[in-house]
Amino acid sequence: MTMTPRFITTSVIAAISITASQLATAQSFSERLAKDEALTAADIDTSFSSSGDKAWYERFSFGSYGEAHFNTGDVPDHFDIHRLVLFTGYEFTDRLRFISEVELEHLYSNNPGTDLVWELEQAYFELDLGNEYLVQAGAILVPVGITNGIHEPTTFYGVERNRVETEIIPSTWTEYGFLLRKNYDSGLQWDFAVHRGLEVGRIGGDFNRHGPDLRNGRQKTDSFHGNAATARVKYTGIKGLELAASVQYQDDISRGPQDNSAVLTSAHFIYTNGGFGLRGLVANWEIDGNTAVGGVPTPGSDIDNQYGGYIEPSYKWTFANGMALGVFSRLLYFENEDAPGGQTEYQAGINFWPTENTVVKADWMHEDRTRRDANRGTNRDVFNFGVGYAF
Amino acid sequence: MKHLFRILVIVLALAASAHGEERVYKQPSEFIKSAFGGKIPATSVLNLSGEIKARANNIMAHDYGQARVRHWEQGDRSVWILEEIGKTQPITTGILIEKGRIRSVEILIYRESHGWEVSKPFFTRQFSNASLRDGDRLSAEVKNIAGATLSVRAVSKLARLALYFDSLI
Repeated sequence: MTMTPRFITTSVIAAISITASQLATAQSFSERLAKDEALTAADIDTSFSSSGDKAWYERFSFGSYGEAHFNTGDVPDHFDIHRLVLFTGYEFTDRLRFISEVELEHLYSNNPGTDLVWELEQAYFELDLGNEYLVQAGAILVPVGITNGIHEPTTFYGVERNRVETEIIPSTWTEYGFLLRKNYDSGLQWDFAVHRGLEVGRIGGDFNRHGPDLRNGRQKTDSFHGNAATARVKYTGIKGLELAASVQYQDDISRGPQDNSAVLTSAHFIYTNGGFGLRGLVANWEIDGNTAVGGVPTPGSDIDNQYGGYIEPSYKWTFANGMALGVFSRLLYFENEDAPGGQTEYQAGINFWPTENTVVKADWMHEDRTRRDANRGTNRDVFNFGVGYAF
Repeated sequence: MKHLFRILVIVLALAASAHGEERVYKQPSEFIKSAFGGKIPATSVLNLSGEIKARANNIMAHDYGQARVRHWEQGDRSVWILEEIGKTQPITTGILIEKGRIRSVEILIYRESHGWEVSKPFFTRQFSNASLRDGDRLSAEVKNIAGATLSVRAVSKLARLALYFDSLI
């Protein structure tokens, strides 16, 4: 289409006319709204306006969460401003929004080996397709586990995130990809995501009997190794209960000479009844291929599964002034390349919420490391203290 | 995967450029009509100041930010259309109260992708027959939904606020 001066003039006049017409309508509506007189059904519905009526700053949202930790006991005393996360969102239309989270880890640590890390945690477009379907595209959270989706410090017990959901499910787990979601009136939700896969190991590296370090397989660069797909179903239609299960397939998780496909299966439940809470989760990796030494696969030596699970009862008292106090305990077990033979953890502690957006935590954790058949150590008792916020 | 991703982003951009409707479960006017036999009564206004404003702020745990609240009433019934932010966006909620007890809570407009469970009847029916107890607490126990805590909290606050406002008219 040719942009002649006549075309440009006609377009400008048309735009001015349309704007003037809308402005006139808006003024009369605003006048009626201000006087509350004779509001029509259309007036009432318009007063709870759509995005189209919002100023740009009303479409913008901002949030943050952060936490600082102190660990002591049978570990070196360690103080760490562990994370500061900044959330921004923008609503382009009623149906399309952009969501991002950037994270600063270890803003300050007294451990000289702990460096400041700046990471992208999420950055995706989200589009409502109608009929309770939505799609996400970009750097998305992989739909698996509990902590990977909800990890603000005010939402979980314990100063540190539990080991099953950091070692077996490598939370926080973000991958480039897209996700389709459907919600039902019954409380059922399903997600299907296709995304970048893990990339573990290094060329010439070792895979012990449990294979690779999966957590370090999260590709935190712009590289694109491997493909994966994750499906999850979640049900919240029973009061106080959430049930969820997911399965993930990775076509090749390693850079080594052998193909290492992998399947992750996980399931969890969360139950609350008044102040009582109970949650549990299991996760299991089946990794195809052989153990390796110096990058050379050992024929006939299959990689054993990596797996783990935990159960966590709790009780929370909420006071009239809005403060709350919770107590919890946790029994956890996992087996992976860092703990071949397995490691059991017993944990108990308290959370205190001075306000609904802030939390103070303290817990004791006993690590039974004596059953490890490698990286074995003595049992450890660790005391953790932390503060956190989220808004 | 890279090419598929690029194609999808382009498709999303094109799809979003078309005008779309809000995720509106029920128009506010329809909620009011359903409470009053198909008609909308004259709009009433409750002015918030002094102790009323302070108590509203206490229920919401922040400055409520409104100086006046529109509502619709007839006989023993009142209808309140109130909004509170869940995680990032306001949840437009309709609350019907009769003789000091909640008859129904409906999520009219929900704007976020998380916490959608609060818009479903299996959640909102928990408010039925609830009244306000001492300390402006609900008489009914509303169970939390993991992953929707902020939305559950927002809707619960609005239910308490509506009951308080109803006690003033």
